[in-house]
Amino acid sequence: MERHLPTPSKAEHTKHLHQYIMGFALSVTLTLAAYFFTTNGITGWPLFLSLSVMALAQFAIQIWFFLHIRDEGEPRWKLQAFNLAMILLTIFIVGTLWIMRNLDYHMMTKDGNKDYNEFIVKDEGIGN
Amino acid sequence: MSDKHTTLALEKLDKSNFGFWVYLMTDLLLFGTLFATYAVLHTATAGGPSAKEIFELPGILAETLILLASSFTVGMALLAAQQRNHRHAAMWLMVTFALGASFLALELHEFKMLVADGHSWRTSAFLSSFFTLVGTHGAHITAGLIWLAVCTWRVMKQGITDNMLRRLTILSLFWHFLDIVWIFIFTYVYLLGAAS
Repeated sequence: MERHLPTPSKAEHTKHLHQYIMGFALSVTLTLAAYFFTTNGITGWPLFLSLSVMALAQFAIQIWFFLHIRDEGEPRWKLQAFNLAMILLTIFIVGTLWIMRNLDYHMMTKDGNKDYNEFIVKDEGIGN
Repeated sequence: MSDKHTTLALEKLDKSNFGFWVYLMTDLLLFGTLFATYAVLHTATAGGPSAKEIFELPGILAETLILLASSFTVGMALLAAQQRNHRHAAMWLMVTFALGASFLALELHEFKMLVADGHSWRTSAFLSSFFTLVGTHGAHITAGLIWLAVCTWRVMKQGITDNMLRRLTILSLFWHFLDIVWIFIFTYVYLLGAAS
C-alpha cells in the first residue's frame, strides 16, 4: 500500500481541470459543427476538406488537452514515438490509396466497356 | 514520505506511462491499416447497399457525444485519484463505465439492425471492411469496460495506492485514445459515408 507519489498542488489541479473542460468544450463544438455541415447540404470536396480540417483539429485538441503530450519533460520520447507513428500512418494510408487507385485504373474495372485502343491512345498517350 | 521514495515512484510512473504509450502508438497503426482498407473498399458494394443507404446519423451523433463525455469523465476520475480522493475517483469511474456501456449498447444495436436487414459483413467488401474497422474499435471499448470495472472495484476496496494511480493513468490514456480513433470513424466512415 505504498503512497509515495506526490499530490498535485491546488493550482496544478485547477490547471488540469481547466484543460479537460476546455478540451471537452472544443471537441463537442467541433463534433456538432461537423454534423451540421454534413446534414445541411454541403457535399463533395468542400465537405471532405472542411470535415478533414475539423477532425484533425479535434485530434490535435485531444492530444493536447487530454493526453497532455506537452507536459512531458526532456527527453521527449513520447512525442518522438508519436511522430514516428504519424509518419508510418501517412505512408500506410497514402501508399495504399495510391497503389490501389493505380491498379484500379490499369485494370479498367471502373469502365469495363471502354474501347481498349482509345484507352491506350488517349489516356496513356501511346501511339499518337 | 522521503524524497528518495518519491523520486523512485515518479520514475516508475514515467516508465509505465511511456511503455503504455508505445503500445498505443502500435494500436494506432493497426487502426491505420483498417482505415486504409476501408478507404479502398468503401465503394465496393457488390450490389448490396451503399454507405448512404444504411447509416442513421442521429444515432451515430448520440454515440459520439456519449463517448466524448466518457473521455471527459475518465479525466475527472484521474484528477480525483491524483488528489487521493477515492470516493470521487470511484464515482467518476462508474460514470465513465455507464457512458461506455451505453455507447457499446448503441453500437451493438446498430450492428444488430444492419444484420437483421440483411446487411451483414458477408454482403460486400464495403460491409466487411466496415464491420472490421468499427468492430475492432468496439472490441477495444469492451476491453476498456472490463478494465474500468476491475479498477473501480479495486479503488473502492483499497483506495488510491501508487500502483492504482499508475493503472488509472494508463487506463485514462487508453480511454482517451479510443475517443481519438472514434473521431476519424465518425468523420470518414459515417459523416462522409452518409453524404457521398
